[in-house]
Amino acid sequence: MTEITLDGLGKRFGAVTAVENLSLQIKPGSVTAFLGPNGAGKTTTMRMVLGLVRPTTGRALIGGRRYAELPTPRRTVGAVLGPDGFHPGRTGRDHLRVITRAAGIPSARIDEVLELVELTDAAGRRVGTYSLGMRQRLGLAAALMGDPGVLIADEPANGLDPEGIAWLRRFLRATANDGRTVLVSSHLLAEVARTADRIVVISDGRLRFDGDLSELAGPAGPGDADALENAFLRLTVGAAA
Amino acid sequence: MTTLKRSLVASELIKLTSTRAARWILIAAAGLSALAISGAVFSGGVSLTELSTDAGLRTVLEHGGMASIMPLILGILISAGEYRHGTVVDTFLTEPRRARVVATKLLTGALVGVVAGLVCAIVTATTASAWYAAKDVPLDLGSTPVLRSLVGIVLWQALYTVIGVAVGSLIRGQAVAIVSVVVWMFVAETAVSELLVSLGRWLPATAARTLGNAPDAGLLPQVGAGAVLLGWAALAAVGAVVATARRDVA
Repeated sequence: MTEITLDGLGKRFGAVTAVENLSLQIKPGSVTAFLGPNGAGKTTTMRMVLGLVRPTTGRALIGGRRYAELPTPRRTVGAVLGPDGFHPGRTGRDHLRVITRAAGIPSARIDEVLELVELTDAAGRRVGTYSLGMRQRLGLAAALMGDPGVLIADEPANGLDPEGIAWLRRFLRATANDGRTVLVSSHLLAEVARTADRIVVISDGRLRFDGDLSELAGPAGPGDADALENAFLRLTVGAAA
Repeated sequence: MTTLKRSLVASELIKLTSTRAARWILIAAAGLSALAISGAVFSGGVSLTELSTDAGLRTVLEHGGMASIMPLILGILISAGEYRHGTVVDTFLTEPRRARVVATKLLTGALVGVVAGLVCAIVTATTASAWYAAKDVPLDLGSTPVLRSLVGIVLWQALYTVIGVAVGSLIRGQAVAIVSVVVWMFVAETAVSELLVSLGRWLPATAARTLGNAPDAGLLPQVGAGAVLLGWAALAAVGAVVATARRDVA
């Protein structure tokens, strides 16, 4: 089983500090929610884990290795980084073919993941004709292609309808129950409150909270939506002020 | 390592064949070759008496290589196109060793550039034959100057595609990259070359035309011009590898 380790991770873009001295361990078999307002540094952190952004300080390791050192990255980590990484003129199936061919994954896997994300019927259409939710699911299909032990998803609920969100919640739960490591970001507490085993709140690039839902809610208990919301706002808005 | 490279090249070829752009670019290149040759003959740029001379023949055939903007654009699409559509993220997630990604793209550029070159060479040979027949001037397609021109045109298009891949890696904005090469190849360099032929012959677009067996005086020999263009391609390729290795994909 593969865990994600952030060790003093930091990133500056010019004068702006996007992420500062972030240290965390994200364990297999549970869903870790990465929460924070827009611009908190969630995306930058995830992209550093995935080797897309070069850290200014510290390091991010997956099973003890940097992403670029993974011998079979697609079979180790699956990543969903938003609904935008597609050529509009390419079919969904061809998008997946590009990945399987490069990663050496048998092409039979394409039909399996299409089935899993319920895109089989749309696979022959150009992505330009897809809805936002369909593009999210195609991204998820790409992430699952190599049957990875780690799933990293940046705001995967964006653009999904209520049915899609419920499906995603069940999917993330089942993925973690399989013993996989699941890291999912959101700027909406309510979206992940019912799925996450562990909540990590960051704001202004710094760690503000790390614990489970009942700790976040305090004495009111995790059933109190208002108490949760207030706690979250205190951590994020209060920190920014 | 070798099998991995092959699978990456195959993946790049799927990218090119699964959208329409590459096909249209090849068709446009074929059309431009035919148009440029027809223009040279029809407009009298090469007069009837010149057609049978070595210089006239080489000038006509060299026009067939002037479709080279299309291979440049094709190369830019291979690299900058991925940044434009954001598919570069999936590419780097599959192969995080970026030097390998860039090397694969350069190699893919060389392969499809040869295809583009063959298309241009075939169109060049057939269009020139048709015009020579129409003007009642004999043309031997198997003669040395013709073969040198056609081989030169193929290598010209192939190296231009590689340069396009490199430029599109250095300048990620697809439109900016295309405008930049157009301005350099067709405006800035022409101006420099006309001012200083001795300097101009070392520049890429002039070397490319010489590789295409253009007969103008003061230019390098064809093989030397090929080496110069290869040098430019190599330089751009190194720049592409270095720039891509350090870049944040945010």
